[in-house]
Amino acid sequence: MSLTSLGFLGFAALSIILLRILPGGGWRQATLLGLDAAFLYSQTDALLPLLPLIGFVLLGYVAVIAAERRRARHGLGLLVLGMVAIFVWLKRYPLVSALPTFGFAFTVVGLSYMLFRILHIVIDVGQGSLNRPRFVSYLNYVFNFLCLLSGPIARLEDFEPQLRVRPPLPSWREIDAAAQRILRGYVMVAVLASIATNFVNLLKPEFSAALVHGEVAHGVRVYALLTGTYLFNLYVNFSGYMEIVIGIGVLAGLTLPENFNFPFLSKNFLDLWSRWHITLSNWLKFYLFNAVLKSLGARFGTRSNMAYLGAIAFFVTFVVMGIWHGTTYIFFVYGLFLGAGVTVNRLWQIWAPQWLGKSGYKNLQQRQWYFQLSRAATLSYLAVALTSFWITDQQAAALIRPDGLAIFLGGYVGLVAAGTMAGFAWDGVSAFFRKRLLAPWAPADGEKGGGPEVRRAGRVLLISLLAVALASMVVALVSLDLTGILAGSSSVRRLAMLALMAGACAAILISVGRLEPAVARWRDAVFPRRGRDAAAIWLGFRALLAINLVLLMVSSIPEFIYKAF
Amino acid sequence: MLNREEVVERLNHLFRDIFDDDDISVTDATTAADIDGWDSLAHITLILGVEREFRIKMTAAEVGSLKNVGQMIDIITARG
Amino acid sequence: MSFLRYSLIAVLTAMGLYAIMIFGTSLLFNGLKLSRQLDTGSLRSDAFFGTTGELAAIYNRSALSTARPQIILVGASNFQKVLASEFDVPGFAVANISVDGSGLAEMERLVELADESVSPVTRGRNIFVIGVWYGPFCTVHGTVLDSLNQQLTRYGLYRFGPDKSVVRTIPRSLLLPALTAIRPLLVEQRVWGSLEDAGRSFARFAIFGDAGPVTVDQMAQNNVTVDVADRQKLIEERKAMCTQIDPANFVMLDQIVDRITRNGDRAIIVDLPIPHWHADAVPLFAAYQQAKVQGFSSALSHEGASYLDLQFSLGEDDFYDSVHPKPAAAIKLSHLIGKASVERESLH
Repeated sequence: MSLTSLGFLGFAALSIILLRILPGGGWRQATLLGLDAAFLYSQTDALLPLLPLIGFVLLGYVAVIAAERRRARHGLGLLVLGMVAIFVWLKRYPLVSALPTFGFAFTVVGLSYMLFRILHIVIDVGQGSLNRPRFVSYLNYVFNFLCLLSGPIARLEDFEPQLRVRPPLPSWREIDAAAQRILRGYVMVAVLASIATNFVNLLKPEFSAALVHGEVAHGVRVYALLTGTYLFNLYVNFSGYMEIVIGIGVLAGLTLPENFNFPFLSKNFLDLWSRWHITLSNWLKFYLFNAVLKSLGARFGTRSNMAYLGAIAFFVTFVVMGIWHGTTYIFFVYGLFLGAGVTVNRLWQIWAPQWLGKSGYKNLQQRQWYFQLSRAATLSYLAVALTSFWITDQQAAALIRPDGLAIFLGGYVGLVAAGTMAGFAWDGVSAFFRKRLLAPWAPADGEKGGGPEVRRAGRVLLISLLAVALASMVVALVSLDLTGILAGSSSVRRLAMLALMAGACAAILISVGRLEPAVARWRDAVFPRRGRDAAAIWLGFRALLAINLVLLMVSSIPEFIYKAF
Repeated sequence: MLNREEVVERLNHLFRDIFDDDDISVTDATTAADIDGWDSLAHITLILGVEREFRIKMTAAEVGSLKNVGQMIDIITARG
Repeated sequence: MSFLRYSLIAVLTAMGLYAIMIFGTSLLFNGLKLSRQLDTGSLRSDAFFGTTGELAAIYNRSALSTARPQIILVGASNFQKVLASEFDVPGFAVANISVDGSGLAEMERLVELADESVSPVTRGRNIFVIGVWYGPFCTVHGTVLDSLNQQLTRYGLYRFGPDKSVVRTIPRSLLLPALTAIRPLLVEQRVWGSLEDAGRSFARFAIFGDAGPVTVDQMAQNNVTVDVADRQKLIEERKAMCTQIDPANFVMLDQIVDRITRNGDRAIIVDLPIPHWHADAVPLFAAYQQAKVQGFSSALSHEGASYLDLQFSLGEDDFYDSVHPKPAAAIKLSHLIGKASVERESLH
């Protein structure tokens, strides 16, 4: 069922109610199993296509039992290889797609995530760090409906206790925060992602045309915009879904790990992966990177070459990450991109201290311009690597020609330049807001309620609202000026206008985001004793807003990107 | 069975060697954030050193979820 | 439980705010006097529902359920110009449900929608006026029908039935209240649509330097003269839009007339005028005249169906482009049609 359908909302509400009302133990496990089964079934509306998937998971449990029995090193390796081989076969990776599968169409929805969950259990049980879970717990962990489509990949030791014990009802503040989270997720997924997708679809044919006609200058502009927007699109789509799922989890009493941690604050490529799709990076670190590096290090490791062995281990890990995302060769290219990126990052981290000295390198890292440049280079690199997610074979072929390469590289450089400038502008404006405008009205320590705090909170709220209004006015004025000052202006000037518009739109987004704590603070100040009721009213308002926004976009909600994996 | 003081002493020696810093003195509460340069690479180098020094084998889960030196010492004393 | 109270307050707040929104948009709606008459071409309707008329045709149908019998105009954008408000036919209420870009398939859907909303008291006394020219009989593209269907099914009041048909999901008695309840969403849809259009044209301009098409301001339409150079351009556009007459459209016309007359209502097929320089330059016009003889025959064979030929009723100065009559000329047409509605005339 689609995320924005009434069916899903009803299903989520039902799950929350059931999981909160019914007692722990057998009831809870059975209810969860039923919910998981219902959700899985809703993906195909038929049992037959699900059988291979279910078979794979059952086979996984056999592997877990086998791992528990043997506990021999090589046996474990064979079990892992076996599960991976079956996975590769079921997903029809290029090398084995010639092999026959079943005579009927079957689904592999969520299989990539399930594989990783199963391997985690097999390896940890095989090595003795985990007790074999009960069969029901295993099923509930692998098939959990919240994590089925797109993660996060929880660890069994964190997840299993929650399957057995019904946690206490959270405080109303936590419920409020979870509900706000779900609303935010819906706005990100249904509204922001739709807008971004529309923009991407506007630019794609232009990109194709520029490639075909070899218009490099035009192509560079379009490509930079396209990849930047696609990155934003993927982010709101994916992290929005995570917000919804984690929020529902909090309400239902299933705590899920975070998958995003402000990726747009990343300092470098390695840092990015501790902020973007965190559970995936962690899994690969635990079971691939650590293992590869350990075996390489044990066999060939010396003081001097450990760093380079590390680079190799990173490369291998990220190529696998790329391949995990999809079965076509383009994902292998994605993996190579990721691997190259991380290698460059690691090599820089090895050589820079040698060239600049340890303290010299540390000083460099403190510089603002270094941070902005490095962040822009990182995010732009990811944006360009993500080209593999949307590019057609034709476009890819054209990209390898000299014109195409010029567009590709030019686009990257352009994006880095734009990103660095945007980063400076952004941080400058936020710092101004925080330090100059809002600082005088920071709450005094321990103060709650009372006249001065009401005034302060009121001013902060007012400033946030004014920021939204001002940014909206900028957007309105610039767009209405379309045939006035801008007519006949150079492409540089027009792009500058576009940048101004983008900045104003971003300012609207952030001010609206800051409105929430501002309102909460004002509410706590004005209604110190009726905070919960005031919060409920605010939630009602926000829910109405979110529902209206989603209904507005409902006809143009794009196919969720994450579903492709 | 090793006792903790002995383990701490041998660990200090290891840490100082790997991180090239003679001032390091680890306690149970020492985490990766406390030591300069303890990233994923250094982590594995450390683990390899620990496995070699104390002749133990650590599992993937243990290697990945180590939070502080205290946990490391627990594993070493349980197995060494 | 405190949690119960919390959720109750949240839900009540949301519902209360939405009720206020319904109230507010209804004030606007009634202030613009939209409930009195369905007129997809009027300025008021354009302001609230948009210029294409799709939203008005779907959501402004309460005006059709009067005790007086209705004269309902159905057609494309040129028929939209014949404003219902200009009619003065005693004993009848007049409505114009035309939608920009309609072909015969769209007109069939519009007649269905009108049929759904007309009061049963007036059965047998309504008059449907179908405004055609050669354009709607061209090869069908169906994009406007898709758009209409999308609008219909968007909020769950209708769903897709077999074979591109659209089926109402709620009983007829709930239809009008439901349309009222959706008004705030409509206003939001309009506002968002305008924002999107502005955003898209800005993006096109900023990135590609493409300033977009020039539209004729409605107010200035009365004063436009189409000079020779423009005529050539418009004719080329028309030729590109329409390559051949599709006989399936005549079958659809027959179905529409059948549906109307089955209920006892009357159907008048009006052949709308186009400027002579357009008619002379496009061979399809002649082909249409020929095809009509056979094509209209089965439609006109129904009891209550008649034909009104207005193809030569306007001068060349009465159009502001290749098809659309100027406001003053449209008034002329409305008088002709009004007269014909009350007289039992058949020119065939």
